[in-house]
Amino acid sequence: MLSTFGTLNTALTTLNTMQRSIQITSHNVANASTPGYSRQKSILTTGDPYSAPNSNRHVSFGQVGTGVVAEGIQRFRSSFLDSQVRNETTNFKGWETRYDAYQQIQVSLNEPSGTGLNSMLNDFWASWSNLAATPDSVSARSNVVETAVDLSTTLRDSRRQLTDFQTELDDRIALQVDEINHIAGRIADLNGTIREVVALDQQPNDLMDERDQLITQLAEMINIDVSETETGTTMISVGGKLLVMDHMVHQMAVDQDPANNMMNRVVWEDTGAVVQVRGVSLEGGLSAVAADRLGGTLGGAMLARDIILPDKISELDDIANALVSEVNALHLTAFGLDGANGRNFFDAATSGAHNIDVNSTIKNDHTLVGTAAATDSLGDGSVALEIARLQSATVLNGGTTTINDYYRAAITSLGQEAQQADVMMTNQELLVDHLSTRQEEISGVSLDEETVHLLQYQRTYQAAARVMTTVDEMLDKVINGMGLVGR
Amino acid sequence: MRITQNMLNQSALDGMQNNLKRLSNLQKKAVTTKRVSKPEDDPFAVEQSLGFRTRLKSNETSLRNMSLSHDWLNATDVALSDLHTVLNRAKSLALQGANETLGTEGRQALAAEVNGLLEQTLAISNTNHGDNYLFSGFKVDTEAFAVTSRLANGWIDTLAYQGDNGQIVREVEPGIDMAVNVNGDTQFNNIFSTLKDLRDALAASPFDVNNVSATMDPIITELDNTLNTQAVIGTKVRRLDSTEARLNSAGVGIQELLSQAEDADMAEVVSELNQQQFIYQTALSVNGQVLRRSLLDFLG
Repeated sequence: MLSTFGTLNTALTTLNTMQRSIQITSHNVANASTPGYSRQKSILTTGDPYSAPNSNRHVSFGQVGTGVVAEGIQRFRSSFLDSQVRNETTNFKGWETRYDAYQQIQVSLNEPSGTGLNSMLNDFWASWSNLAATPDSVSARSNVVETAVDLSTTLRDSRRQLTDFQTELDDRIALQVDEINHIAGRIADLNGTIREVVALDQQPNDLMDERDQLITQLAEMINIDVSETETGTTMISVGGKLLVMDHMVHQMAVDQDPANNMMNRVVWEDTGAVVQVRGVSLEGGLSAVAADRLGGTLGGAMLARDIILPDKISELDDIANALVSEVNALHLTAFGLDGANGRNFFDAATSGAHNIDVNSTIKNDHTLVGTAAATDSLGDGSVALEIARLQSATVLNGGTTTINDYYRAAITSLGQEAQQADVMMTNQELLVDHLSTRQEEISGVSLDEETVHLLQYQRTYQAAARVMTTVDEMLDKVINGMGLVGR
Repeated sequence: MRITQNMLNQSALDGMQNNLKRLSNLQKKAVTTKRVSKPEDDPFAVEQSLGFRTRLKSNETSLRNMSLSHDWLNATDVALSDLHTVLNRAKSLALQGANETLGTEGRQALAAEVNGLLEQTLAISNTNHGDNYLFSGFKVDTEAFAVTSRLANGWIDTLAYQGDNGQIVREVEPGIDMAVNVNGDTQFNNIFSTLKDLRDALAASPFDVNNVSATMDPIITELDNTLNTQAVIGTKVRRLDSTEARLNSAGVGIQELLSQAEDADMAEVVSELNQQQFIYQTALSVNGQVLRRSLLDFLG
């Protein structure tokens, strides 16, 4: 005879299982908009069937089922997609950081405009040309000096803005290393907790979601390699060396690189060795090859600081140095209103765009600006004319380019590089979005779907309750109604 | 393929963001009227724009310098015309004086007039243009000629050239030069000595008519020289005029090219702006409808 209470038990387990399932559904619905949440579902399987003994045969017909068992909670997540998203996010953030750097540089240089370096240079050459046409004029000399002072100031300011930006990037690198350590610490903590839960044969789904979020945050900053172990912990490595393993962290640190103007380089705190990412050392001397491999905001910041900015800064320096040496060489031979020559127009101590300035002797006495080739030749503007003609003299790039053309080419290549960074960044963004959508497809909560499940579980619960009532009535009949004949 | 609410939301957000981004770009173009505000907007156009601006400034400078040279040459021409008048008068005086029948008084009068012509020539040689002396070479702050000694009666005896041989060279257009001054020494020295000879011959006693006639040829030579110099100046002035016309029209051409490279086509921008606003509105309305519905609206 089949056990009556067995059926009750089946109904009871159904009630419990459906309650549990509804709870999970409620959890899904509550977290439908939570970033990084992977939907969960209770795994329902049939209970172990048994063979009921029978007085006539070995066993009675069929195996008897024992109802539903909630085996566990399934988490819908594709770790393959996760790693794809991580890698492409690293690339995206790398390009985004570089694009931001280009934006900043374009703002500093401010071209095309009437106040950019191109206009300043044009005005400078024009002032010498005007002086050459009226070489005895003091006001034309004042104009030359004032225009040159404006030009020098613009050069100094532009360069300073670029070097200030370099310093800011340097600080940012240090901050990001701190952030990396902090996040790695939190991942390690989660690893410990998850390991303990898994050891108890349970699924720490929400903890794993949180850990995945943190790992993605880490991937935004630097290229990482992630792998999962059997104990449920993840190992994260950077450049082949372990950053996080189980609950342990190898922290990173920054120290000053003497070979790179004492700017920050990233090292492992325990060994002091420079951190390597995809074969590139995170220190000064980054090459163009590095530009292809370093991703993340940290990688992007280093590329901007060590490749993009120095390029532009040295272009400004080249322009300043060429101006100073060419103008001074001619001006030394030029006689001023005092009938003497032998004076530098620009400060001879100028070594680049950071300290270019008009000679203070000339700033104090504009009549010393030279124009003539010999003394006592007030109407002679020939040397001033030669200085004005430096505009078309090919003094840069090994004697092939004029100063104006050199600057134009610098601005053009800046624009092209910025455009390229924009394209790469946009493409990467699209790729990340596409992969994220696929993640969402697998892990996302569909409210409609959850509503249907809810209906399902609710009706099942009601039906199981109904079964219970039926069995209860049957039992009532058996217990209270049997054996009362003749009473 | 599963679709979740999040996917719909995200897609709506992304779409609206992109629309707004396009709207923002168009708005910026409309407000600044420039189609390029940063090198990355169109690197090639920016390269051209910088080049055009340089050429425009260079043009402007050339035109200004040419105008100064023009003035200088004109002033020189005027002075030389005066000189021409003086020499013509000298020629007719010489003709009058080469006459045996003129008395001493008559000849003295002629001599005095020739001295007057000499003083006039001196004044012409020291013509001032602005702050500068035209005929002193590089020494533009010094008079070209000064009287170094006078005779007892106040007539000019010797003159000295105080300028130098400097050629004042001005740039006409980039790379092309032009000498704008006339050397006072070569222009006036012979004139002074010829006029002096004429005066002294007329005032001489005993009078020798041959001395007077001997000055005719030199005077005529100097007249021709002066005319030649004026012709050269005339050629230079015409050259300046034609260069000026050419640079002016080149300037207009470059200005147009600059505008093409830099300026936004306002009609196009406004039309695109309207279109983009319409697209944005449509997106908003569609999103509003799609995002609202879910199964819960239809269950009891």
